[in-house]
Amino acid sequence: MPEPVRRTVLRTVILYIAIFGMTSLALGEGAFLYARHELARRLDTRIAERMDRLGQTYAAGGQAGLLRAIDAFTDHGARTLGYVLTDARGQRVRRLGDVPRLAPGWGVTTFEDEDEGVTDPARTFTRRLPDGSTLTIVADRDYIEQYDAVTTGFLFAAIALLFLVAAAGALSLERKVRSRIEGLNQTARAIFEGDLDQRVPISPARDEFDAIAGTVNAMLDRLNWTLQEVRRVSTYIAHDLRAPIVRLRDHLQRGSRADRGPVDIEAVERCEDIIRLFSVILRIGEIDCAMIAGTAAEFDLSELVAELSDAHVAVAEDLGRSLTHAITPGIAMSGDRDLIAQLLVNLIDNALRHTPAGAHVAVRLTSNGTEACLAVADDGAGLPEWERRQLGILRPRAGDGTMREGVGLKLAQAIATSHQGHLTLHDNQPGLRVEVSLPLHLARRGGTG
Amino acid sequence: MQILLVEDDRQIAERVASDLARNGYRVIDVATAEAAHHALAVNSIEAVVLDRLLGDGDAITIIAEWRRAGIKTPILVVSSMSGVADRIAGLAAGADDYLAKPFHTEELDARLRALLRARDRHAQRESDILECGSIRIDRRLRTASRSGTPLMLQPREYRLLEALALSPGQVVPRSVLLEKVWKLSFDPRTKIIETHISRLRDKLDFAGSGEAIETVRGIGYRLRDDA
Repeated sequence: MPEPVRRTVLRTVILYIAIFGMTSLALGEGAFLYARHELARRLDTRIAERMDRLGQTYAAGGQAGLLRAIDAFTDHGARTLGYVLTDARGQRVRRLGDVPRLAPGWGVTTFEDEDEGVTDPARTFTRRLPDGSTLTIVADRDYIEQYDAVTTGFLFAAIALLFLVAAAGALSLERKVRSRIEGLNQTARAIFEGDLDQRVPISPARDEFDAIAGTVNAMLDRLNWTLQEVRRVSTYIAHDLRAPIVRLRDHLQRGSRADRGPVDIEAVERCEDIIRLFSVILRIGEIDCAMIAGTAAEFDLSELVAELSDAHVAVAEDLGRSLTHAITPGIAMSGDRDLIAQLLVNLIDNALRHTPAGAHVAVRLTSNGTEACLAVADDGAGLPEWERRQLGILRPRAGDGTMREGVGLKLAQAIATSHQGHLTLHDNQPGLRVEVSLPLHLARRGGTG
Repeated sequence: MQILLVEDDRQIAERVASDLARNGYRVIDVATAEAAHHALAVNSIEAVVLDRLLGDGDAITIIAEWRRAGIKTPILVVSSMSGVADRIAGLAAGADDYLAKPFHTEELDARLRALLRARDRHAQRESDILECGSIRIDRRLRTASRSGTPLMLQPREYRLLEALALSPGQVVPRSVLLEKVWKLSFDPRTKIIETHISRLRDKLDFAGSGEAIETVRGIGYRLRDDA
């Protein structure tokens, strides 16, 4: 099962949306404030111009002229501005709602709009006229407030829309990236499981992901080629080394037959040992999953294990050891019967070889319905923890021929792996227990390719 | 008996040819598939020993071609690849037996003889009674006796004796015994054959009778037809 991954792409995209959104918000707010400020400034300019003009009118035509001019302005429907004229004694000559007499200069007040029946905020500018009266121009700020409301609403709607679009885009981008990466991942997993022929699918789009896929595929081709080359070279080496040893053995044997002296049995046996070791090494190299897929067939695992265990009861006896088995009958698995036989024989051989006389070896076969578990346990000296963990590392050890044991277990492990199973070593308290889990049915390999 | 040996490694070819010649075969030795095809056409060949990989072809393709052409001569494929898949591919293509390199000439000899015997058996029905010296095997009842005394054999011991008795007086290679008795295609390091031969000997060689099974070191065992 793929473990949950940290969704870096999604998180990055979300972070970018957040930054992008914040920036948009700040820009929008700035534009909004600037526009509002500009509106207020223009209103002030208009008030000031109007005041100048009325001041000139007053200078030319006195209060009567001023009132006429005000009426003219008002009648023309320019309702934005209102006028309040108060004479020197404080009498309102012209009034606007309940706006009181104000001190000269700029100010802010509220007035009751007679048309709308509501109280509006207003901008005021008051000037003292030469006769002691004061003229106040009142500008309704209502439309600035309305602008506020409309613009704020619009701004929020725009930002919300922006977020939605960005989030949808981000999610689809994330999904696309993930699906492409997943393709790569599946291929890698399949290859990891041994299907070296898997390649990353390339879409017709030929985009940057396909460029990566192409590079990865080229890399895999190269690796595959190297691997095959290594195999070929190992095979050549094993052959080239094996051939002279075979000739040596034949020479030793023929020498004896030609009555050229007694055959050196020890020498012949050593040759046989080396030849067999090469054969095992060659076999480890040969075993791969593609091969298993080609030869896998269903066979009765219980029968095979029982037969081989039975065959080794006598072998163990002759070696002064004992062997017993407990086998659940009727376990069938698909795989290569010959290789599984070799695996079991290697484990039994290993157990018989590395225990003192009198030791007991137990073979057990069970199944949980999806996997068979084959265990070969002995009550010998076992292996220290670190050595159990190091299994699979082909290494020579002290003493003659001990590398062979490493090779035997290594071959068993290669066989288990090729059947999508696992070989593990356990402390049998006392002794060593080798457990092999084997899926009853070979899973179809990885991805879509 | 005329054998066609197809092998492109001259060194191996010379060794095998001279060994087979010493064992009484007449050997025609060629290095290519083309030469082999020609040799098959003009000579009376009783069996072919064919190398898995030749300079001008692959044994599997060659065999398939020959079989299509109606050539029924028994073919033994010799390969440096011991893989099971390879073995199965070879047999599926129509080869009669498969032998992994390196091999003893004695083993090749034994397998060739087995092939020729199998061919002969097609002609005449195999009998239910096998006799070899003082040993008599009833294949129908799966029982055996020596000099009239019934032998109490375990099923695997019986199969072992039967496998030996099928080639009376001749060496049966270990690999053949492993295949016939335990269905194993590899030689295990455990002394599985030695142990069972030893048990079988204990039962065969009772007082007064000579040693029936002879060990041929490094190759296999022979059931004497004079004991």
